[in-house]
Formats: sequence, structure tokens, C-alpha cells
Amino acid sequence: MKCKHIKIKLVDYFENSLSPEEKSLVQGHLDICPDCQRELQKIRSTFALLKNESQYEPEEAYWTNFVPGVRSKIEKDRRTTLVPIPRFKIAGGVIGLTLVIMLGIFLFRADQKVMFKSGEEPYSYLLPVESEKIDQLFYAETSSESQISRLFSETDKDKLALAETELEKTNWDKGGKEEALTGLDLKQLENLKKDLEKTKFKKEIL
Amino acid sequence: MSNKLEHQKANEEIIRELVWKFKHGEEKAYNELVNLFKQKIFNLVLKMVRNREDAMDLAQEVFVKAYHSLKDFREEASFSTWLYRIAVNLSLNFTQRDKFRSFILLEEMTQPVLSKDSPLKDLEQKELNQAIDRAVLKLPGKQRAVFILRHYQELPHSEIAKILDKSEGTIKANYFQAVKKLRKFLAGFTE
Repeated sequence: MKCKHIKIKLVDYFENSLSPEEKSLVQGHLDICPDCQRELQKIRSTFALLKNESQYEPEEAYWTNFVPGVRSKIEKDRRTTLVPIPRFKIAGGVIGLTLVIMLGIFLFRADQKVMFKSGEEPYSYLLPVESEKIDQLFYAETSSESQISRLFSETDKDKLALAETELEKTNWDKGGKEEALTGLDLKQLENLKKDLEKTKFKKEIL
Repeated sequence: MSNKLEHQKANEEIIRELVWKFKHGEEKAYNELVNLFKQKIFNLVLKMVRNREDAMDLAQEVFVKAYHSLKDFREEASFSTWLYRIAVNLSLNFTQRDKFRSFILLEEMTQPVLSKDSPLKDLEQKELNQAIDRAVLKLPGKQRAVFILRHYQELPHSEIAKILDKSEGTIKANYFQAVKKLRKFLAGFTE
């Protein structure tokens, strides 16, 4: 038998757990093989070393309190599992959470509409346009009117015109009229007057 | 039949009865089971995790887990085999989870009180204990379990095979590998 087959059995040989046949086979090999003898010696030394390991024994109080400790942990677990979250509560929670998220989205969008109404985006507050169109409008604000108009249908265009006039009217009504007029010279006032006469609100302004 | 075997059989009968009583609502029977196995389980867990504080807590956890699962225990294996399996798995999970921590705490775990008579010997003993702890913890989980069940708990290969649900051949191979590695890890102390 080769050394590698014997070496596998050396631990069992050392522990005396081989069958009598195997034992005599290993013994026969050991008698003629110094390498396997050395191997066996190393195994012996390792187990001798392990035998010298300190043994730890907990104090008596640990053993006395062992069963109560286990019981207390079992009770703790039981209390936790006695108040299980029923499945319908989980389902309710999911539905509730969904509703909260939906409400949040709704309020967020409503808030955005209010923000536009406050005057930051004069073109959009009366228009039933989609958010994409609002964005496009935002970037097109400084572009020509024809560019803006292309974003909307005919109906929307009408609403856009209405929105502009409404805005103008509001700004004038807020008292900016006097302030604006005092800053103009005579010629500018004349021109303004001519322009305003052309608008459909001239009667109201004058 | 030898006295030892008779004693073992009687013990197994008592354990079976206690399990039966517990399954039929007698809570106190479980306390007796705990008392019968607490020391063996503590020693096994201590050798597995190599930390006293953790072992003291984990040994109780083994019985808590066993309590919750005992109603489903089908008695295909003996109660002790089943309990050892729980202890090995919990310990392996623990050291896997806390591998790093275990190594750090290693310094604190084996600190014998140095006696006035032979402080040098105590120091050597401390070093040896730490070296063994490190070496055992370095073993792969399954090899460590096999080595501890065999070397410290002195269980036969056939019983270890049942606990770990492996063939006897695999257990023997694992044991051989574990000893080979320990020999290597502890070479500084043996040569």
C-alpha cells in the first residue's frame, strides 16, 4: 500500500478506530516507512497539544439560571408572535400607502398649477396643456409668438390670447398703472395712448 | 449487554418519554430535557464559537429554537442528534455572521488568572489557548463541526454523519482534513 493511502488512515490509527485488518496493514507499513512514522508523530504531538487546552466551566449561577433564562427567552418570543400582523392588516397597509402616494402626487401636481397661476408662467395657467407642453412653453417663452402658437391647437391659441389679456388687465389693476405712467415722457405717453386705443380694452384703461 | 449500553438505552427511553409528554402539552417536560442536555450543548457551542459570553447566550438560544420546533420533530433521528444539529447550525451561522468580531474578541476570551506561583506557565497556557482558538476558528465550518463533535464530544463517526446529514466516509475525510490543517496551524507549538 502506498504512503498516501496510509497517511489518510493515520488519524484513525492514532484514535484506535480502525478495523483489526486495517490496523495491522497500517502497522506493517509504519514498521518500514520513516516518513509515515514522522507523520504519525506529528499527529500525536498535535493531539497532545490539544489536550493541554484549558477547559472553561461557567459559574454555578449560570447553570441555576439556565432554564429560567431559556423560559424567559421563549416567553419573549411568544409575546412577539402573539401580536402577529394579520395579513389583512398588511394588505390594508399597502392600500393605505398607495393612497397616500397617490394623494401626494395629486397635491404635488395641484401645487404646481398654483405655482403657475401665481404668475411665473403666464401662458400656462389657463391652458389645459400637458406638462410636456408646459415645459416646451417655458423654454419657448422668449421665442417668437409663432413658435409658441405651434405648440397649441386653435382652441388653445384662443385661450392663450385670453390668458395674455387677462394678465395685462390684472397687472394694470394691481396699481402698476400710475407707477408705469409717471416714468414715461410725453412722447412715450402719446405712443402708448395710440397703442392702447387699438386694443379692445382701450375704453376700460382710459 | 454491557452496563454502559443499558444505561444509554434507559436514557434514550427517558428522553423519548419527555419529548412525548411535551408534545402532549406537559410544558415542564421541556425543562427536564433542557437540564439533561444543557452542559453538552454549552460545551459544543463554546468549542464552536470560541467565546464564553457568546456561548452562554447561544446555548440558551439552541433550546429556544428547539422549543419552537419540537412540535414538528418527527423523531426520525434521536432527540440528541436533532438537538446537536440545531446547535451546530446556530453556531456555524453565528461564526459566519460574526467572523470578524470573533477574531477581535479572541484576545479577550482566553485570559486565565495568572497565578503567583507560575506566571510564566500561565502566560504560555494563555498563548496556547489562543493559538488553538485561532486554529479551530480558521477551519472551514463543516470541518470544524466534525472535528469538535469527534474530538471534544467524542461522538462516533456514524453519529456525526447523522447530525450533519452526510455519509460516514465524508465525515472521516473531513476529520482527517481538519486534523491535517490544525497540525499545520499549530506547527509552531509542536515542533
